[in-house]
Amino acid sequence: MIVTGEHYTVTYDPLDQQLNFEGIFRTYNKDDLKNIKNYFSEIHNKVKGTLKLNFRKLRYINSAGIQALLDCLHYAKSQSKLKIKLIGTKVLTWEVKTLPRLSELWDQIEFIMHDDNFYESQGIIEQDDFIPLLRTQTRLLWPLEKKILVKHGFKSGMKAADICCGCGDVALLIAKELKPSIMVGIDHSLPGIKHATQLQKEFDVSNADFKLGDATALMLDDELFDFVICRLSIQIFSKPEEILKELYRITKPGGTIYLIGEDYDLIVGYPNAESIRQVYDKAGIYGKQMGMDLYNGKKLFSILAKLKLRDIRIDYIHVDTNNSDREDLANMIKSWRYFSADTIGKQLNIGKQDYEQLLKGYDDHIETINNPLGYTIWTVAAGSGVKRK
Amino acid sequence: MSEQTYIGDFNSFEPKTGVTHIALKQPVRDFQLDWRRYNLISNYFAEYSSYLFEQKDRAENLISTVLYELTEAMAQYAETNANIIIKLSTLQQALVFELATFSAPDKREPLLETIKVINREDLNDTYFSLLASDRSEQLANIHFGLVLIAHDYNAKFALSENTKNNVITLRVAITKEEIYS
Repeated sequence: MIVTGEHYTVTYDPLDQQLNFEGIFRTYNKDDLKNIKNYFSEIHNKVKGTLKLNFRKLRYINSAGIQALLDCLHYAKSQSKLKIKLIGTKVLTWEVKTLPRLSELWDQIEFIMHDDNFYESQGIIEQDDFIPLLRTQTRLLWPLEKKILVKHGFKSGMKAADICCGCGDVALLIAKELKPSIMVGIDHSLPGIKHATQLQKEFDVSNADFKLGDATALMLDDELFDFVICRLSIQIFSKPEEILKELYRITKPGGTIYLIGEDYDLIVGYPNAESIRQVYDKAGIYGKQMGMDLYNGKKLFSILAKLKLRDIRIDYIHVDTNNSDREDLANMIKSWRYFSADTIGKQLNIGKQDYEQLLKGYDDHIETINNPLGYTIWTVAAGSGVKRK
Repeated sequence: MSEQTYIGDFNSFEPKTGVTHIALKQPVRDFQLDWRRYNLISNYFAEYSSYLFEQKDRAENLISTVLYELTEAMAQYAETNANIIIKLSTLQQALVFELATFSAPDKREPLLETIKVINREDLNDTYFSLLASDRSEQLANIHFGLVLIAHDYNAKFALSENTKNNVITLRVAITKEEIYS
């Protein structure tokens, strides 16, 4: 069943015992307000345990809407049968400001900020000090990836989106060099979006727009984009299917979904070959403990195939000491060293010996890069597919 | 006796010392004919002004949410044939919403009462008693939307009332910190 008005819908998902509110619920229409209460009480009376009210896609609500919601919560309290979970997102200011107050009405109402929980490693990749790592990776990848994007069907004039755009570097390069009609960049990191917006102003890029957003609940219409990009991100999420579902939803039929995946199995070097292998094996294990999958590059084909895309294409982008600047490459490994040993290591509370082994492995890799006779390669997978009409 | 009376610290957030980014004059009747225009106007102000802020999405959501409630309240208490003038300005540390219209004494009384309640020290108690009570029990002369904005957004409300020409001006200041926190 669905309750719908001019700008909103309320649906029930029995799998999660969750009422999903979407759109704009600003109304004084008595039928609208009554329908919400009736629907709530109907679902309330059917289920046991916990009923979730998900507001992550409800852009606005007016005070009359809040009062209708209060009526629902009063009803739940009067019945004293269920626990109620109110789920909001940091992206929408009204939810940050008002939803937590509603949970104070009754001790069986809990407020959950979804963004705080949706992936374990979220906090560390949204900090300012992650930006230099993203920028170094872009510096290395972009000269090679630009051609890959074109090969995968990117054309000027397209409407494009970069979901999990980080600090916006790649989205801005695409906007400037591949000339889409609009390049929308979405990320959940405040420092990332701030950085992107500053660069956009500085470079006077008019065909880009950056927004703070939750990749698992995008405030974007269905079937909006010709080309949807998600680079080096789904490996971070413990539930990548939640993002993939959204990427699929916002892609036009006939449009392309383009992913870049990481694969730690493919990082090799010489000399120090053994030490280099060991450190990425170890980092991969630590990543897994943080809910990441640092080997997902080889899985891109099956990920795209499960989305039932057609014309799936997989390419590998090889960044090595032969085709890239050694200093940039060394800087990237230095960023990884810090990120892996200090940030993730601290988070996982690893022992001193493990910490020192990690540092030594990264140092050996940097030594290989700085050795004029040394060779190393970092390979990422680029995969795309076309959404069927 | 002065024709101009004030509730709250009206002159602390004088938009003239800041920059007015957008101002609009709309007939009250427009809103009364179709309440969906509150949504249009508040979203228009929000989208127009959000570029001024580092976190434009958060700013847009705040401006639209706040302005919706203020406009709805002012239109509710205004004379049907009057206009509402809506302004959004920024000071160094705050956003200032200013709405002015004509309102007869008996019509504006609940608005004045609400602004007085908002300016009392027990706003928190009032707010939670409004949340906790059934709507039928709520005080008819307290505007819930304004109390919600005052409480949840730490908004400072002030109102000037000209008893001679019946012009009322509502001024609401919200620190920029509220966008980011």
